[in-house]
Amino acid sequence: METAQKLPIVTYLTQIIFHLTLNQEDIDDAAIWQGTVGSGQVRRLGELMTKRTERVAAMMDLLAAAGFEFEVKKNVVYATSDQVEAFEAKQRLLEAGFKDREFQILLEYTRGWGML
Amino acid sequence: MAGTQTTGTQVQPPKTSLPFMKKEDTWAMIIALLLIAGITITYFTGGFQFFKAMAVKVPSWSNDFSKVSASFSKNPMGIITLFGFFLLCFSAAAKVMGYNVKKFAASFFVLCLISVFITVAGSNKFLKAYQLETPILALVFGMIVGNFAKLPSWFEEGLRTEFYVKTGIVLMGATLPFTTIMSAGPLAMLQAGIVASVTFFTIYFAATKLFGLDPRFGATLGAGGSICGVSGSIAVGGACRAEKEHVSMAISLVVVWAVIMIMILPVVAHNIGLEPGVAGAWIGTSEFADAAGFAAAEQYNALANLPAGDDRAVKAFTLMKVVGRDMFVGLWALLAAILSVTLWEKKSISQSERVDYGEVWRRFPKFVIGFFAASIFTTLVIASIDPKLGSAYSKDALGVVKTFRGWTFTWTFLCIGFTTRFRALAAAGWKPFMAFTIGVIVNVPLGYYLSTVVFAEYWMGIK
Repeated sequence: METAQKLPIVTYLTQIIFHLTLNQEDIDDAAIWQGTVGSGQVRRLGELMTKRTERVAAMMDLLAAAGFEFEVKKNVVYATSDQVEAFEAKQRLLEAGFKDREFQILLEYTRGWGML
Repeated sequence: MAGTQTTGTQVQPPKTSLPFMKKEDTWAMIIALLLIAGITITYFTGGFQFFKAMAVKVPSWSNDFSKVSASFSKNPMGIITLFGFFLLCFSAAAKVMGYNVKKFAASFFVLCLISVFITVAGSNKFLKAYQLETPILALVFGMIVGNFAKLPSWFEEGLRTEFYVKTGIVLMGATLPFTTIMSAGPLAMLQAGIVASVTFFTIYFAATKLFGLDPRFGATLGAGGSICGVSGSIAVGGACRAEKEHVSMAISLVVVWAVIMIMILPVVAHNIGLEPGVAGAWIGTSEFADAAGFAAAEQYNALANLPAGDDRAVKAFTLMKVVGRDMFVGLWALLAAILSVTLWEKKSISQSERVDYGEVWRRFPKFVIGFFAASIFTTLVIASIDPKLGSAYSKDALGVVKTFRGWTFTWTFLCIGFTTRFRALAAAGWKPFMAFTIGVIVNVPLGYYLSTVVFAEYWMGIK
C-alpha cells in the first residue's frame, strides 16, 4: 500500500529555455546596422543567427545526455527534466563554456501530498 | 510571455505550470463562486430553502445528547444534502484534476462522517472547558490517527488540505465586504510588509551570515517563515533555483512551526485578553500557512466563545494573511530570482541570466482572485438593493455561506492533522532550524507589537 511516508515533500520540474532568434542586444553588440544598410550586413546577421542556432544545438546535446526532453514552440526550445535540478543543469552549461545569457531557467516546485 | 526580458521571440507560458483546469485554485474558485451565486440567485428568486437546509449547525450541549439528536432529527436531510452536494462538486473537480475519483469520493465521504463526530464533540461544553474546540480536536484527532495508524491509500486521496482551505477562503471573501478590504488592505499590507520584510531578512542573514548556509537556502527558509509558509518556500525556492533538499527542509520547518503555532497563538491571545480583531491580526502576521492560520483564528474564536456570526478574528486574520501577505509572493519571488542570478552569482545584470518578470504572475496565488471576486460580488449585491433587504441578505444568505465555510475549514483542519506526519518530514538539521527559529523569535513579538500597539486602534474597530 502506498502511503504518504514514501511520498516526497516536493517534486520539481526544471525547464531551460533557448531562444532560436537573436536578442536585440546581440544585434546591437555586433553593431550590424551601423553605417549604410547593405547586403553584407544581412549576411552578417545570418552568420550571427547560424552561430546562435549552433550554440543552442550544442546546449541541447549536452542536456539530452543528461536526460532532458525537448519541445519547441514559436522558435523557442524548451528543455525539461524532473530528474536534473536547475542548479546542476546550469552548472553543466557554464562548465561547458556557455554563458548565462544564452539560456533562461525556470524551476517549478510542486508541494508533495499533505504539505500545508 | 509579457514581461520577459528577452527581446526576440515571444516566450509561451511555461509548460512547467499545470493547465488552468487542473489546478486546485481554479476549482476552489469555481465551486465557491458558483455556490455563492447559487445562494444569491435562489435567495431572491426562490429555492433558497435548498441551501438553507444544507447549512447544518451543531448546537452546544453538555450531558444531554438529546439536544444534538433533536437538531439532526429536525432536519435529517440537511447533513445528507450538505455532504452529497460537496461530494458531487469536489468529485467532479477531482475527476478533471486527475485524481482517482472513486478513492477521492470514498475518502471525502469518510472525512465528512469524521467531521460530524468532531463537530459534535467540539460543541460539547465539557470539552470546551478544556479548550478542546472543533479546530483543535480535528487537528489533534487527525495527527494521532495519521501518525500512529497506517491509513489506507484510498483515504489519503481525499486528504487535500489546500483544496478545502482555498474553497473556504473564497467563501470567506463573500462575507468580507469589499469596502472593508479596500479600507483595511493598505494597513494590512503595511503591517504584513513590515513583519514579512524584517522576518525574511532576519532568517536570511541568520542562515547565511551566522550559520554559513547557501543564500538560496536562506531565502527559501526566509520565505517560508515570513511570506506565506510552504507556498512561499516553493515560490521563492523555485525562483532562486534552490536545491530540492533545501526546499524540503524549509517546508518541514514551516509545517512543524505552523502546527506549534496553532496550539500556542490562540491560547495566548485568549488568555491575555486580546480583542478578536487584534488577535486575528497577530495570528495573521505570525502563522506561517493559510490553513494553519485559519485553524488558529477559528480556535481563538471558539476559545473566546464569541457569539455566532462574530467573525472579527477570522476577518482580521484573512486581511492580514491573504491580502497583506499571500498576494505579494510573486514580487518576493521576482526579487529572489534577480538576486540569485546577480548578487549571489556575483554577476552584473548585463552578464547574468535573464530573469522572467512573468514570475510575479506565475507565482501569484490565483485563488486570491476568487476571494476578491466573491467579496466584490456580494458587496455589489448589497449595495444595489434596499438596505433592509440587504441586511436580511447578509444575515440569511451570507449566514449560509459562513456555515459552508465552517465545514470546509473543519475538513481542512482534519486534513492538516491526518497529513502532518512528523516522521515523514525531512530532518532539517540544526542550522536551518536555528535560523528559522530566530525568525520566529523576531516575527511573533514584532507582529504582537504592531497588532496590539501600532495598529491596535484599527484592528480593535474591525467589524
